[in-house]
Formats: sequence, C-alpha cells, structure tokens
Amino acid sequence: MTKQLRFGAFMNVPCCHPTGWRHPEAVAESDLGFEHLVHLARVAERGKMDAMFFQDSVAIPGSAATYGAKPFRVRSGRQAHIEPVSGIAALAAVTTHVGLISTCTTSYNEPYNVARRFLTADHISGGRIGWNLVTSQAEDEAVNFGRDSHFEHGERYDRAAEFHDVVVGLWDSVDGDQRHVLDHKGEHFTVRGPLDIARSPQGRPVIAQAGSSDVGMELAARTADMVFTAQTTVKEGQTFCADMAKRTARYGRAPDHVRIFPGLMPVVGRTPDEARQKYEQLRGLVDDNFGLAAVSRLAGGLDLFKFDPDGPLPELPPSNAARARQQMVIEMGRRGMTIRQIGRVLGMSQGHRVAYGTAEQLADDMQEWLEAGACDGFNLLFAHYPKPLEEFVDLVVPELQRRGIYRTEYEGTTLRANLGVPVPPNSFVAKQRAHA
Amino acid sequence: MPEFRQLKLGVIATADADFRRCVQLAQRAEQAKLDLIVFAEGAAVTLEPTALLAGLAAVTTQIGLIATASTIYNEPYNLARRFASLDHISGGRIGWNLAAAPLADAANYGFDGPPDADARLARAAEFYDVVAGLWDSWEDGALLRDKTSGDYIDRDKIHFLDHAGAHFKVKGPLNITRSAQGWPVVTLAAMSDAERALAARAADVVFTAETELGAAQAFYADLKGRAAHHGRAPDDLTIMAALPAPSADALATWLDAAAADGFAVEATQLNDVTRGVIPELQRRGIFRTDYTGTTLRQHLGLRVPENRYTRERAAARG
Repeated sequence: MTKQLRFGAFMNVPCCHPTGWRHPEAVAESDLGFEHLVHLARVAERGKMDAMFFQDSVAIPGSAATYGAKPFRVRSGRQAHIEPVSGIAALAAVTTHVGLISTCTTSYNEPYNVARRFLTADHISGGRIGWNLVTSQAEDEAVNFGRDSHFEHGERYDRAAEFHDVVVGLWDSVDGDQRHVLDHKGEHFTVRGPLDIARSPQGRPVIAQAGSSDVGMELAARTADMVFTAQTTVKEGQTFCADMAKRTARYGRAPDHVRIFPGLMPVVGRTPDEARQKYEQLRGLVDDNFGLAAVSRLAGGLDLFKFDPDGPLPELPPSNAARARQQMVIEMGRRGMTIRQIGRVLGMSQGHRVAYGTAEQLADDMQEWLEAGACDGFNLLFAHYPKPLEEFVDLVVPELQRRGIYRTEYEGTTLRANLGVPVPPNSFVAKQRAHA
Repeated sequence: MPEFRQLKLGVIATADADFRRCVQLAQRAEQAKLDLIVFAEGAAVTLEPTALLAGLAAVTTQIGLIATASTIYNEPYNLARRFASLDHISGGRIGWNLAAAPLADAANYGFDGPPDADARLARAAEFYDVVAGLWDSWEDGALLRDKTSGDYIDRDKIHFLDHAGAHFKVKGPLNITRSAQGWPVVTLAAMSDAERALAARAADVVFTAETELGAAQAFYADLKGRAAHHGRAPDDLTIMAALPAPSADALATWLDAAAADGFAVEATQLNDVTRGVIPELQRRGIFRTDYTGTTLRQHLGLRVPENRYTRERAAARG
C-alpha cells in the first residue's frame, strides 16, 4: 500500500495566527465555547483526521512579561481557554473515531494525578486519547506554582523523563485482575502505585512530544509515539526524520513506530489567485509588535526592541526556553532576513511553515514531503476557526483520497490503531517474563 | 415564585469504572429533575471524578454535576482552572466538593502519611482562598474580542491575585473567565468545628452527617448562624442531609422543621425516590416538575458571586 499521510488538527483556539481572530470569518468565541469545539471535532472526524491536538499553558501567555510597560498581549487571541484534559474528556463522550490529544505539563503536576486523568479520558473515549508531554518554559507559568522562575532546560527534561516513566508504569500497574506495585523511587518522584483505574482500551494512551532540541529528541526517541516539530523545507524534514530514526533505533524501537508531524499552516483557495489573496489577507493581519515580541521571546534575554527592526538580527545568547525554535530564528537571520521580517514569519504561524494554493497544489506539496521521507503527516495549524479547517476537509482531503495517499475510512477505533503504532507490551509482564 | 418553599434533591454516587453506567445514572437523575449528582471517590476500580464530569457534561443538559477533589496533593491553580473549565463546558452546572482530607494514598505522592487534621484544614482554607481569588481574575467585559479595534482583552479588567501565604504563592491571573454561574458551586461535608468554620464562609452547599431531627436542627441553626457572621444570608447556604429512609413525609418534615434545605440520596435509592417520593413531593408543591433555570446556582437558588474587583471599583467610585 502507498505510504499514507496522517493529520493532526492543531486546536489552538481561537487562532494559530496570533491575531487571526480578527479575520472577518473567524469565530473568536471558539476560545471558550464548548459547542464550537464539538463542531470542530465533527469536522475533523468527517475529514478522517488522526487526532485533534490541544495546546496548553498554565498561565495567560505573556502575563508575566510587559509590553509597552503593561502586562498582557492585548491583541493576541490566545488568552483564555478550556483546560484541555477536561476538553478532550468531554469531546470523548460525543465523538467516535478521532484521536484526542491534550498537552499537560510535567513541570507543575504530580504524575499520579496526570496518569489518572488521561486514563479516565481514555476509557471515556474507548482508547482515543494521547498525552502531549511538555515541560514548562515560561516565567508566567512558574509564578502560578510558587516559583520565581521556571526550571532550567536540563532539569526540566530530567523531571519530564522521570515523570513519563512513572505515568507509564502506573498505566501498566493494572492489568486485568492483576495489580502491580510500582514502587518508584527516583530523584524527583516517589510513587508506590498501583493505579485504581483499569488498563487502557488501547494498551496505553498515546505519547506525543514536541521537543526538537537534542535532549528533547532523545526523550522522544525513547518514549514518544508521535512527534510534533517545526521544519520548513523538505530537506530539513528529511534530516529531522533520519535523525529521529537513528535515535529511535538506538532504543530498540522501529522508526515507523514514532510518527513525525511537522507543523503546517495550509491556506487553501479554489484558484491560485484566491489562495494568494487569502494568504496576503492573513499576512496583513500580522501585528508587527507581536511579531517582534515573538522574536524577542527566543532572543535569550536580549532586548530586541532596542535594535532597529529593519536591521539584521544580532548574535543571540543561548535561550533557556525553546532551543530548537531559537536555532530556526538564527538560521533566518543568517539568510539575511531583518528582525521585522522574521517577526512577520513567526507572527503568522508560530514559526511553522505556511503553504498556500489550490487543493491540487497543497496536495502536491504534502505528497512531496511524504514521498521524500520528510514526514509521516502534518500537524495542521489553522489561522482561525472553523473555516480553514472546514475548507481543508472539504477541498484538500478529497484530493488526497483521490490520489490514494489518505484514508477514506478509519482503520480502527483507537488512536493507536489509526496511527499504526503498536500497543506496547505491559512493562510489568515483560519484567516477569525476563525473570522467569 | 412557588407557593411553598422548595426542597433540593441530589444523588450521591461513586465514580463507576464504567463510563456508560455513570451516564445512565446522571441521565436518570436529570429525567427526575434532580438538582445535582455528586461523585465521591471510593470504589476500588474507578474513574477520576473531574475527567468523568467533563464527559458527563457533554451528554447532559440540565443537572448539576459535582466532583470531589482534595486540597491535598493538588495545586490551587490547576484545580481552579479545571473546575472553571468544566463550568464552561457544562454551561454553568459544575460544583467542587472540597475535601480537606486526602483521597489518595500519600505514598503515591512521595509522603509517608497525610498531614494531621489541623494542618489539613489550614491548608484547605488557604487553598479555597486562592481558588476563589483566581476565579475572579476576569471581570465581566474583560474579554472584548473586538475585531475593529484589534483588542482581544481589556487588560484593566484582568487581575493578578498576588497571593503569598503559608502554603501557597500564586500570582495569577487564571487563564479562563468566569462562567455562566460566575463560579462553580462549592460544596463541603462538615462535621468538626474547623470544618463548620470553613463551610460557613466558603461553602454554597453543606452536607451534614446528622440523621436525627434534633441534631440536624442544631447543626442547621449553627451553620446558618455562623454564615450570618460572614455577612451571608440564610439562603446563601444550602444544607443537605442524607436520610436512611427518605420518604416524602420525612423530607417534608425536615424541611418544615428547619433541619435541612435539601436531601442527598444514595444511587441505590434513586429508583424508589423517583417512583414513590418525587411525585408526592410534586403533588405537595415542594419539588419542581421541571427545571426553571439552566445553571446549578439557579437550581439551588444561589446568587452569582459578585466579582471582588468589580465591587472594589464600584466602591471606589462611591
């Protein structure tokens, strides 16, 4: 069978484009209106998408920083949103096939609590849940949990790795009538177990990760079923996939058991002209101040507002925040882009690739990535909701299906079945076998 | 206005391991026009109650949904936004049953044992203050979504809590607005003096363990009296009792005798109550024949809590 594309629908409601909510067709109420999420889920399910993917932060993004001497990014649409583990648990009750992935931080939670909540949502959904394991890197999150600053990069990932192991161990701790005591004693956590919830209908909830730094990729290679990443060219995508495959193999895992989803913001038109006009309209909505702030967040503490926005990017000190994302900015600077130009790129799609065109052109683009081994699918960013998702499903999906590179029916009823990633063996059972 | 004082009815359940059975129970209670269903923790194999509530919120439309969550082994920011999120999902039908006692084994959180009773209550009281403060982070009208001006929010109507206490340091603001009922309803099971003190100032619904009429009357008078000291009206606090044999006569008697405002029945009693008791209560005009509101606060006759910052602003204006 021809290699198949897969899609995650990135649900950064009300908009992935930070000021995309101002678009005349945008429904800004999708930020908090559950009925809008239900509609989006039905569209994603109609489009046979693998999963809806919910971003999260445990703060109003930017509330600790100051813009124009005052807190809050008042023009950004990402202010208030439904806590996504609750969101996916609710959507699980009114959908039947689409996977539901929620972000949840390992920095400000307890593994026992996280294990219970995701597993409960997995039972409600019949095995369609995924956990996007992240570390918190924003000061505005730290101050909501008694800390003055967030954990250092290395410490964050140490904690995340141990957090993962505890959660997975707890998920495996109940197997039919058998209960296994985890008795985990580590540097960050001491957790006895077992869990009080039955084993997942899909073995374990799916693990997703977005770290593209070296330490992030290592963690993903060992633990993730899906990886979200920002890659802007086929060549970069190929390099990333090859790198991941090498790392995955070192952990004794098959490379295609880790599905790689570069981010992509599709802008689809019925004609090339219409697509370009839509793209220009979205570029026109980019707020320059917001773009510059987006670059500043990756500047490693350097105040970019003191530099000429139409001048070159200065050399950046290492960032304690998203390392891979900073490297991408540095690359853009090396290609001769000004601070303002970089800001407009970051300001539209959070640093992810934007592609505009007709359904055929977008299908060509994605097919090229797929066949070149530069991705397993795409995590689709939508400038706003719900129209761009509806257009993608109504226009692009049929074209991909016609080409035989996208499913016309779901393969199964669990997220693992649809992703084609295996049910992991129960770690306790594996240990018992090893001792037998 | 109804002719007679109305009693409130809720059902107490444990979070069943089977989601579909939980749905059936919630829908049966909703068909019977009950005010609420409370999920306690307890069964050996279960579902996590707040995630369960999210699923139930999506497949019910009227009944109030309450989950128990402990103030131990949780962070106030996480619980505040989770319950506020459930309240948005449900359209304002959520309650938080605040448990000061641990619901899970300390060994799953790196502790040898739970804190003692005094320490638990002190933590619970501060935890509640942080949660309630965070729930007020956004004043009405803070969310502009103004496509013309380009302003999504009115930053002057979003507030930092800046809480620094013995147990918690939380800056805020919460990243979610108030809901259709303002805040989720807060419920508490109160017995000890310290629990009653917390309930009197913090709880919208208090569950009493008293099953003798006289003792229940004393509890009722005590709690309403304590609440008055916090400037709260008698109707700001709903006291619910659980009777071993909840007949229509018994419930009406307790209601008239100022021993309870409402009653919680066990899930196992629901069939009998629905068939035998509720029609009689309706005939007497003391229980609704249909829902008249959409939020849990409306079912219970509770006011929407006033936003503290809006109140301060109005006070400053004179």
